[in-house]
Amino acid sequence: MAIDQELYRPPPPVTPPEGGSWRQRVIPWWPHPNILTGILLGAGGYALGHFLGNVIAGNWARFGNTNMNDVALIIGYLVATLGFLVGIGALNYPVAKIFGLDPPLAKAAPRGLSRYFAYTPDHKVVGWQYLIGMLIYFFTGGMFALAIRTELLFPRYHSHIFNPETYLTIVGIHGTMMMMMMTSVIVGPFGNYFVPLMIGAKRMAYPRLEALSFWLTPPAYIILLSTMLVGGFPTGWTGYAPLANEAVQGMDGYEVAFALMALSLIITSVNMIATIVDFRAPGMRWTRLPMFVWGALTTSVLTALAPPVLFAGLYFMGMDRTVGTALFVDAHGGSSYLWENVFWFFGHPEVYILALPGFAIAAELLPVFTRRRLFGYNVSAAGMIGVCFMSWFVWQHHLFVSGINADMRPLFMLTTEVISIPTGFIYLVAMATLWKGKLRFEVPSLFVLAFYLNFLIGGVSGVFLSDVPVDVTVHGSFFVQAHFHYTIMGGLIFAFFGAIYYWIPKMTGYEMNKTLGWIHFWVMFIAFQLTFIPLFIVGELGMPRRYFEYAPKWATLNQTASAGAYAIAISMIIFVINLVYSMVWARKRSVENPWFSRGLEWQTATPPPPDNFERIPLVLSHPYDYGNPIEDIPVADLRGVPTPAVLAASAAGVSGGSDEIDDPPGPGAGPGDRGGEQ
Amino acid sequence: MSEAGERTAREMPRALRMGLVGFSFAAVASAVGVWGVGFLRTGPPPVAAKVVRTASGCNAYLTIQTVGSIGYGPRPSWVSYLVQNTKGQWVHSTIFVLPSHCTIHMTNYEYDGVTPLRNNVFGRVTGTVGGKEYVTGDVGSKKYSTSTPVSVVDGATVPAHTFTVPALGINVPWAATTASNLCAVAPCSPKSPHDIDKITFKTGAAGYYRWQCIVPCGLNFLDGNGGPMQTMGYMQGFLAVEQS
Ligand SMILES: [Cu+2]
Ligand SMILES: [Cu+2]
Repeated sequence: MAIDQELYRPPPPVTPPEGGSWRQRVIPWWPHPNILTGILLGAGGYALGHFLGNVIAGNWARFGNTNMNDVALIIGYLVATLGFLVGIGALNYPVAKIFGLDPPLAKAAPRGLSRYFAYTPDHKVVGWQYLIGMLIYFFTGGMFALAIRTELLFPRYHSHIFNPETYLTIVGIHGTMMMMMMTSVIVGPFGNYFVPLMIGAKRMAYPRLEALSFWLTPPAYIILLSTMLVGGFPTGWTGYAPLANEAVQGMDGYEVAFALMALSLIITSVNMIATIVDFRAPGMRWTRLPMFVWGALTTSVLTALAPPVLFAGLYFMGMDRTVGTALFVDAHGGSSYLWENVFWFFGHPEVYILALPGFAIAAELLPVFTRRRLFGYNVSAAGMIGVCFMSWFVWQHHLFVSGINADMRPLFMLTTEVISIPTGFIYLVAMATLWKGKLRFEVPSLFVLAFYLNFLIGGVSGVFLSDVPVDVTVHGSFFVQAHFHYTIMGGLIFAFFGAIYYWIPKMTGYEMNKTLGWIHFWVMFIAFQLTFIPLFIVGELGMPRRYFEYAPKWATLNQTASAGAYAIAISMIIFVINLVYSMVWARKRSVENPWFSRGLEWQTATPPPPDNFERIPLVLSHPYDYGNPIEDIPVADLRGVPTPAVLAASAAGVSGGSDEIDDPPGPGAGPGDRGGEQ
Repeated sequence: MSEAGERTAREMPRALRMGLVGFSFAAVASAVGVWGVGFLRTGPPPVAAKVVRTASGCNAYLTIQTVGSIGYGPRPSWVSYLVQNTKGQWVHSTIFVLPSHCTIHMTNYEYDGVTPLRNNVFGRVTGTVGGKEYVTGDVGSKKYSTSTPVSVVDGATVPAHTFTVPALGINVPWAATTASNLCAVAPCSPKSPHDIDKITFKTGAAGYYRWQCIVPCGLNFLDGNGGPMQTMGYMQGFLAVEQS
C-alpha cells in the first residue's frame, strides 16, 4: 500500500542545464519536427515512391496502353505517408529506442501554439488536433455536398455544372471523406481529450500511438483529394467491384486514403480500450463509468474489429489493380460478391461506429440538463453492448437486390429488425430521462433534442428499409440516401456540435457566444429538415442516387433540398464565426463548470492542467446522481488517494474495491514519457 | 500562480497569433477551393456544327474523326473522338452543339481499326435517315471505293466504335479500316488508312442528349470498359441540341 506514495509523488524539480538558463534550452519551433518538415519529407517520399514504382512496373504490359501506372501511384502514396510520418517525428522515439539512445529533442518539445502542429503525446493536444482536423474534413466534405446540390439544382439541358464523371468523383469524395471523418469525429476529439479526464487518468495508455492515429488522417485527406488530379473515381464511397477494377488511377487514392483511415481507427480503438480498461482511477467502477466512456468503449470494440476487414478488402483491390490478381474479377475465378461482402461486413458495423458515439454524447448530456439521474443506466450500457454485438450479423441487408440466395433475405431482415431492440433500449432510456424532467434549454441540450428527433426519423425509415419488399423498391434511391443522412448527419453531427458547445468552455476556459449558438442551431436544424425531407420524397418517387440528371418533374423538390443545403452551409459559417469570435476576439472567461455537471472532467481546473489532476482522484459516487438526496456527495476526492488507513475505510464505505487501487500508470511509463506535455 | 500570471501576460500575442494562423489557413483554403472548383469544371468544350438554312429547311454539317490514340494531352494513348469547328480546325471534344428540328449530315473519318462488339445488336444501324450509313472504304473483307449504304454489319469484323444516342434511338457502328499502319497522333492526315462513314439524322426538340460508344474499346482496362469509355471527350459525349 506504499504504492501511492511512490507513484503520486510530485516529480523532482528540473534543474537548468549547466552554463545557461532553462529558457535557452527551449528550442524554437522550426528545428523541431513539425507539420512543415512532414510535408517536405512527404513530397520527397512521393517523388521517390513514384520513381520506384516506375522502375518496378514501368514496362508492364498491363499498364502499356493506359498511360497510368497504378504501381507507381500507390507506392508513391505509401512512401509519401511514410515520409510525412518521419518528417513529423513519429519514428524518432521508436528508432532512438531501438539503438538505445535518448529520444531526440524529447526534453525540448515545442510549447505554445506550435505544439498543435507537431507530433505530441499530450492527449489534450491530440484532442484539439482531431477537433480541428475533423472540422476541416467535415467542411471539405460539405463543399463537395454543395457541389452535388448545385449540380442537381436543374434537371438537365445546358444546366450541367460538371461532367458526369466529375460528378461521380464529387459524390465519391463527399461520401468517402464524410465516412472517414464520421468514424473519428467524436472518439477522435472528445474521446482522446475527455476519456482520461472522465476516468481520472493523467494520459492515454499509448500516447505515441494516439499521436500516430491522428497524424495518419492528414495524409489520408490529401491523398483522397488528390484523386481528382488523376481522373477521379466512379464508385462512390462503397468502391464496388468490378467498377473499381476498371476505374482509372483515382481509384488508387480511394484505396490508400481509406486504408490509412482504417489503420488510424484500429490504432485509436486499441488505445481507447486499453485506457478505459486499465487507467480508471480508484473507485471508477464499471457501474460508475460515464455513458460517454461506455460509448467510446463499445465504439472502440467495433473499430478494433471492423476496419481490419475493410483494410483487407482494400488490400485485395490494390492487388487486383496493380499486380493483376483477380480476387474480384469473376471471369478469372474471383468474385465481385467478395468485395460486397467484405465491404459491408465492415460497412454495417461502421454504421454503429457512427451511431454509438452520438448516443453516448446525448446520454452524457441529458442528465446534466434535466438534473435527473440517467434513467436505466444499466439498460443503456447493455443496449450499447447489444448493438455492438448485433451489428456483426446484419450486413447482407445491403445485398438484398444483388442476387444473393433469396433464402438469406428473411434471415438478414430479421437480424436487422432485431438490432432495433438494443437501439430502442438506448433511445427509450433517454426518453424516460426526459420524462417529467426540467430541461434547461441551453445550446448543447437543443442539439441533443434535435439528435433524438432526427434519429427517430432516420431510425424508423431504417426499419422500413430492413424489410425486403420495401428495400427492393427503394434500393439505390434517394430514400436510402435521406435515411442515412438523417441518422449520420442528423444524429451524429448534431451530437458532435452539441458536444462542442458543451465542452469547449472546459477545453479553453472561454465561453461560446450563446446568441450565435442559438442562431447556429435553429438555422442548422430547420435547414437540415428542408434538405432531407424532400429527398425522402424524391427517393420514394424513384429518383436514383449518383445520377447527375433527373426527371424535370422532380425539380421543385430537388431545388428545395438544394436551398436547404445552402442554408446548412450558412449555419456552418455562423458556427465558425462564433468559434473565432468567442475564442479569439471576445475571450469571455467561462465560469468553472457552467452546466453544473457532476462529470469528473469538470472537477479539475479549467482548462485542464498538463497532467489533468494534481493527484489521481478517488471516485466516490455515480456521475449522474442528480436530484438525489445524496447529490451533495462529491463525485470524487481530488486530493487523490489518501493514506492507506483512510483508503481502507473509504473502500469499505462508499467507494471502489481495493483491487482497483493499485491502478498502474501503464506499461512504458517513465520520466521521458511526458516530455511532450511539459 | 506564476503560470496564470504568465498566461495573462502572453494573452494578446497568443490571440493575435491564433488569429494569424487561422487567417492564413482560411486564405490558403479559399485559394485552393477556388482553384478546385475551376479544376473540377474543366471539360471538353462544346463545338458547334456548321448550319445552313435555306427555304427548304435546316441542314447542319458535323465532321468528326476517330483515332486509336490521341497522341497528346494527359491521356495520349487513349482512343478519342475529335470534331471540326466552323473554322475547320480539329478540336478534341465530344460535345456537339446542334440546332433543333434540323437535318444533321454527319461525317466520321474513322482512323481506328476494328474492335469487336460484345453484343451484335449494336451492329445494326438505327435512328438515321433510311436506317443506313454510307461507307467509303473497308467493311470487313469488302472494300467500297464509292459511298455505299450499309444497314447492318458483322460486330466481330467491322466496327471500330459506335455512335449511340439512346434518347434519339440512334446507333451507328462505324465501319473501320482493316489496314495495320494506323494513325497514332491526332489530327490524322487523310494519307493514313481510314474509312469515311456518313450518316444523316434529324434532331427533334431541344435537349441535352447523352451519347456513348458501345464497343468495349478501353484497351488494357478490365473488360475494355474503363478509361476512355468512362470519360467525357473520349468515348462518350453529349449532343447539345439548341432551340433554333
Ligand atoms: Cu447496414
Ligand atoms: Cu469506342
